[in-house]
Amino acid sequence: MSKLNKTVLLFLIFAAVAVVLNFVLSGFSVTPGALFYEKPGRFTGLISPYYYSVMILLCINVILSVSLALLNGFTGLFTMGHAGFMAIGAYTSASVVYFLLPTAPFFIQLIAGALAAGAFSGLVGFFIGTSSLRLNGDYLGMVTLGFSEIIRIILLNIDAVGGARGFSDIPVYMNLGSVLLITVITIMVIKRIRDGRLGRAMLAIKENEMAANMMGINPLNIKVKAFVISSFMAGMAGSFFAHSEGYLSTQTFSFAKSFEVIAMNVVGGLGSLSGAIMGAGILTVLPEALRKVQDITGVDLRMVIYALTMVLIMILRPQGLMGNKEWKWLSSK
Amino acid sequence: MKILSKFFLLCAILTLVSCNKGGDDKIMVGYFGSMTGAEATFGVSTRDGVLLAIEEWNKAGGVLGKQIEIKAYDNQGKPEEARLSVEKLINADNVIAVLGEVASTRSLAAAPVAQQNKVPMISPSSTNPLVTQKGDYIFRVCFIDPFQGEVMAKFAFNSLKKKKAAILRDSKSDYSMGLATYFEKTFTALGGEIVGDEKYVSGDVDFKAQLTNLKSKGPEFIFVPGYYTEVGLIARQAKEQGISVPLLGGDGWDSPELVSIGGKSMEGNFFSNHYTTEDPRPEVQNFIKNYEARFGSRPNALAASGYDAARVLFEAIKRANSVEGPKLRDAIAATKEFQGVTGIITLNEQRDATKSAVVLEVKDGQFKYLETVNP
Repeated sequence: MSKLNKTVLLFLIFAAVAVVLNFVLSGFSVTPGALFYEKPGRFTGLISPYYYSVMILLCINVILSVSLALLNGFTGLFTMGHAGFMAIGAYTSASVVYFLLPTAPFFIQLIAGALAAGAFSGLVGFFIGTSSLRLNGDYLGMVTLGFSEIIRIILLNIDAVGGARGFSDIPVYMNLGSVLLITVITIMVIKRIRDGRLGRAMLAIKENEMAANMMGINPLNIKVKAFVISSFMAGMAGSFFAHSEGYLSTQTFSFAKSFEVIAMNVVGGLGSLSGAIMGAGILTVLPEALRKVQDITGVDLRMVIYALTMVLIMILRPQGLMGNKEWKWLSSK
Repeated sequence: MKILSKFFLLCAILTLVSCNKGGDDKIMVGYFGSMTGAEATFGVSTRDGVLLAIEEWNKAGGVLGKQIEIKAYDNQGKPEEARLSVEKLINADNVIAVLGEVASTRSLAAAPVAQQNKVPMISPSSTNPLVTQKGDYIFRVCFIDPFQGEVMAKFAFNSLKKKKAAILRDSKSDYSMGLATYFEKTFTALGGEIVGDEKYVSGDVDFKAQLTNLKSKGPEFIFVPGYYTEVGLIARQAKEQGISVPLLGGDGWDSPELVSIGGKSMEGNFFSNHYTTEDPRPEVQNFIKNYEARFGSRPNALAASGYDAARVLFEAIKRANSVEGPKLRDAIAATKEFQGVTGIITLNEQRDATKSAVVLEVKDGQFKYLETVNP
C-alpha cells in the first residue's frame, strides 16, 4: 500500500471513530449545537453538557498549545501574541458564517469557517513573521505582544462585529467529535513537521542560527514558515472557539490569554510536543476540577491552589513536566 | 515520571466525579460573577447582596418550607468562564435559577445556556438592551441605558424648568450614544429645544473646541452622558471657558474619582443613579443597616441590585409555588410593583425592569440625594 493510501485510510478511521464517539457522547442527536437541549433539564448523552464543554475547550487549548510549541519550543522564537492569531481566526470564522453562510449545512460552515480563519490568520502571521524577522528573543516577544494588542483594539473598534458589546448569535455547531478529530490531525501534522526536513531545520535554528545558516539552511525562510503554520493553526482554534461558545468578546483575547498558552508550554516542557499537550490538559482541567474544593473549604481558594500548583511544578521541575522527553506514540523513532 | 502521570490521572478523575445533587429539603440557587480579576469588586459586592437576601429569607423560614442554598462560581471576568460556570450550575449542580452577571458582555455569553436549558436567569445590573433579548428566560432588575436619558430629560424639564439643552456625547460608547439619543427624543417631546450637539471620543483630554461651540449657542444646561474621567475634565474646562450652566449626566458619573478629577467645578451638577444610601424608605435603611452589620462596609449600588435580584426570585418562587423552569419563568415575568431597595420594580414584556431612578446633586464633594424620577 502506498504511503498516501495509508494516510487516507488512517484519516477515514479517525473520522469514523470521531463520528461514532460524538453520537454516543451526545445522546444520538443529529442536530449539532442543539445537542442536549431537546429535553430541558435532562440530557440523553453519556456525559453531562458541562464536561462536554470542558472537553471541547480542552481540545481547543491543545491545538493552541501545540501550535505555539512549533514556534516557541521547536524554532526557539519567543512569541507572546498567540491570542491575537486566535482572535483573528475567531472573528473571521464568525463573520464568514454569520454574514455569508448563515443557512448553509453545518459541515460546510465548519469547513469554510475554519479554512477562512486559518488562511487569514496565516496571512497575518506571514506579515508579522516577515516584518519582525530581524528580532530575536525578548524583542520578538515584545513585538508580537504589541501586534496582538493592536489586533484586539482594531476588533474592539469594528462595529459590524459588535465592538465592545461582543459578537453574539454566532451559529453554534462545534461538537466534540469534529474538534477531537481535528485536534488529533493537528498533533499528527506537527509531529510530522517536527520529524521531517522542516522540523530538523527549525531545531538547528533554535540551537544555533549561525551554524544552521552555514549548513545551508535559510533561517528567514524557515522562521516565516513556522510563523505561518503556527498562526494558521491558532486561527483554526479560534474558529472552533467561536462556534462552540456562540459569543465572542475582545476581553477573551487579551495578553492574559497569550500568557496562558505560553504557560501551557512551559508547564509541560518547552520543546516537547507531549509536554505541550499535557500542559494544555492541566491548565484547562485543573481550574475546573478545583471548583470541587470550594464545597469542602467553603471559600473560593480555586485560583490560589491553581497558582500554587504552577509555582510548585516550576520549582520541582524547572524543565517542565515532560522536559525534553516525548510520549512513546509521539517520539521521533 | 510515573508519579506525574498519576497526578494527571487524578486531575482527570477529579473532574469526572459525579455531580452533587441538591437535597430535597433545599432549594439550590446559582450565582456567577467576577470574584477575582480586574472587576473583582463588582462580583464580590453583588454576591454579598445576594447572600444577605438568602440569609434573611432562611431566617424567616426559607421559601416553600425549604432552606435556600447558594452555589457561587467565580469567572475571573472572562466571558468563556462565565458560560462554563453557568453550564456547571445548571447541569452539575441542578440549580433552579441563575443570578448574574454584572457586566453585559458576560451576561450575553451565559444567557444562551440558561435559555436553552429553560432555567430562569436574572441579571442584577447588566444595562445593555441586548441582554434580555437573548430569550424569554432572561430577566434583569435594573433599568436599561436609554431609560436614564428619559429620566434626565424629565428632570431637567420638570424640576429644573430648563427649556434649552446642549448635548456633549462620547461617539465611541454605546452607552453614551444611547443615553443621548433618548434624552433628545424625550426632551423635544416635552417641548424643550436642543440648541447644540457636539461629540468627543473617550480618552480625549481637550474639550475646549466643543465647549466654545456650545457656549456660543447659549444653552441653559449641558447633558454629558459619559464616564467620570472625561466628565471631570469637561467640567473643569467648562468653568475655564466661563460656562456657568449646570452639567447633567448618568450613572457613568458614579465614582469618587469624579470629584477628585473635576474638583470645585463639579459643584452643582446633577446625575441619575440606581440607588442612594440617603433614600428614606424603610426597605433601603433596613438593608443598609443589615448589610453593614453583616459585612462591615456600606453597600454600593451593585450590592443593592444583587439583593433585589435575589428577592425578586424568591418572591416569584413563592408565588409560583414551584421551582420548575416554565412556572418559575411565568412568575418572575409577572413581577409587579416589587418594593426593592433600588426602587419599585415592575418587569415589562421585554423582561426589563421599569423602575424609578434617583437624581443626585454634587454638593461639597458629596453626592446628595435630590429626588426620585418615576418612569
